[in-house]
Amino acid sequence: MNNKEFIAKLARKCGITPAEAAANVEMFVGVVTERLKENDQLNISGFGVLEVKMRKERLSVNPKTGQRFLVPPKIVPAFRPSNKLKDKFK
Amino acid sequence: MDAKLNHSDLSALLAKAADISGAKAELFTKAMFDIIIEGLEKDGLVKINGLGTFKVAEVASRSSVNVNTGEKFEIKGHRKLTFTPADTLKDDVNQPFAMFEPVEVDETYKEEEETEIPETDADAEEDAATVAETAASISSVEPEVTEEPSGNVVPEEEAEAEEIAATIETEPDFVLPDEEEIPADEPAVAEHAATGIVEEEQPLEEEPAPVTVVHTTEEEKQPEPVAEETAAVETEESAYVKIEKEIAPGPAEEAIAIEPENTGAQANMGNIAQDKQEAAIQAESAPTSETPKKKKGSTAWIYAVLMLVVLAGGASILMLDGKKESEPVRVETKKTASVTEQVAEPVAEIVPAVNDSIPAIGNDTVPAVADIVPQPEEEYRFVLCEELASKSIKSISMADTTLYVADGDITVHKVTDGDRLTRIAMKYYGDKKLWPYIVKHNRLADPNGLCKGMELAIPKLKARN
Repeated sequence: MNNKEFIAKLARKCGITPAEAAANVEMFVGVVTERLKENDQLNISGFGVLEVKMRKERLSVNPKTGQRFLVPPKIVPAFRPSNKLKDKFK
Repeated sequence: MDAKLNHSDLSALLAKAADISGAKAELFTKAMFDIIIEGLEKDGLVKINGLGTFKVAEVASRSSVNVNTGEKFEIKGHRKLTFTPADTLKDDVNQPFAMFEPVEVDETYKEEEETEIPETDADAEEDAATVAETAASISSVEPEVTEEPSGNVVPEEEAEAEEIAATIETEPDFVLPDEEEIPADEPAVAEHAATGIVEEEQPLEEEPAPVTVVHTTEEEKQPEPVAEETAAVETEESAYVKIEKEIAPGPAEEAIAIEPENTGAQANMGNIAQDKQEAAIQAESAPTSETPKKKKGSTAWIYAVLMLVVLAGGASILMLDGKKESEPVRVETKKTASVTEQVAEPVAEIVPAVNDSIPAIGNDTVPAVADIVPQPEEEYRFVLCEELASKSIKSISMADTTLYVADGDITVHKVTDGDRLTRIAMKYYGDKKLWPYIVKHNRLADPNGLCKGMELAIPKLKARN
């Protein structure tokens, strides 16, 4: 299911036009991004948790050339599915 | 920041951002997540622009080992839900570290060092901080230590003062000329006299109370043992005579001024009078005499003072314990008294004869005698303390083993589980306090080392007389 299909299905379910649905999804994504930038943790019951995690710097080696790179630390968004959802797909 | 938001919070935020009603926003977000789950069930993949991709991934079965039993078993393959954030979301979230880029590392060691530099710097700073802290703590500890001796020194010095006072009492005529001559000829003697006087002055404020108590309890017997301790102090002080020499001239002059007063008044009265009159002088002279001692002989001085404090504690315990203890103490005190008198007399005799030789002889002989006399006595006191303590304990826990005499055996007792000497004594004598007789009769090396199966002869007890 790609984004287009997702929007279409959402619009049908909510009784709104796909354009409106797309706008709202965009708004929602904006809100989520804003919250994640603030290090907030988003708990969506029945679905999972969206949060950010800190990755420390590390040395990586290119196996072909043997070059060593120092990979800088970074913050990455992460998703943890709820137990309910996990069990559903297990 | 670091807040935990739930579904309704998110919906409220969406309602605000999209300018729709809260209920509608909640319905919308709920529909969104429902469709995501639906899509995952159907296709195993849902992609949302700007957010990322939710995907159901297969996990292959793998073999593992039971940690407890070591058995091999297979973890069955399953599916799990994964989320791959969109690049835009990644970048937005990673903004604080956006300026960093992977750096190629040529010389591994160098680069590792460089990367570690910030940490090591921090460590170094921390180390420096800790060192500074420790130094501060050490410095803070030192003054405490130095203060202790100074505080402790006072009583000892007081004792010394008492001794000197006693000598003055016994032979005021001889002592006084010494002091008078001291300033003129010999600094060493002057030091001695000065320190004695300074010490006399110091105790006055604090000591009168204890001294009087001592006199009341055991009259004149106790000042002398104290004097023994002070003799030890004197020996230690003699080691620091050099240090005191520097100080001596100042107090010596003060002492000289004070001495005539002492000579005029009687010994005890004179001391008190001095104390009162020279309170101001004491305040000045006391610090001057203490400070050099602190600086130079600090460690040795501290040890000596600690030892003396312990001795003083033992002596006080002895005094408190009363009659039994006072008898041996009296013997000691008599000895010490005689010793001190003997010491004082020759010194006094020599003084008038040869003025120059006095200081050397006086300083050398007095501490020497003091060295020999006090140490065994101090040890003896320790022993006395210990004996008394042990006696008191024994008197509580043990029966007097002289009340009865063993007269044949009643029976032979075989030690069983849970047997104790007190229990056996209770069984045969009806008094658990009589267990020492069993130990004595069987010549047990270790009363606590009863073994199962051991055979104990139970003596028949017959009252002595």
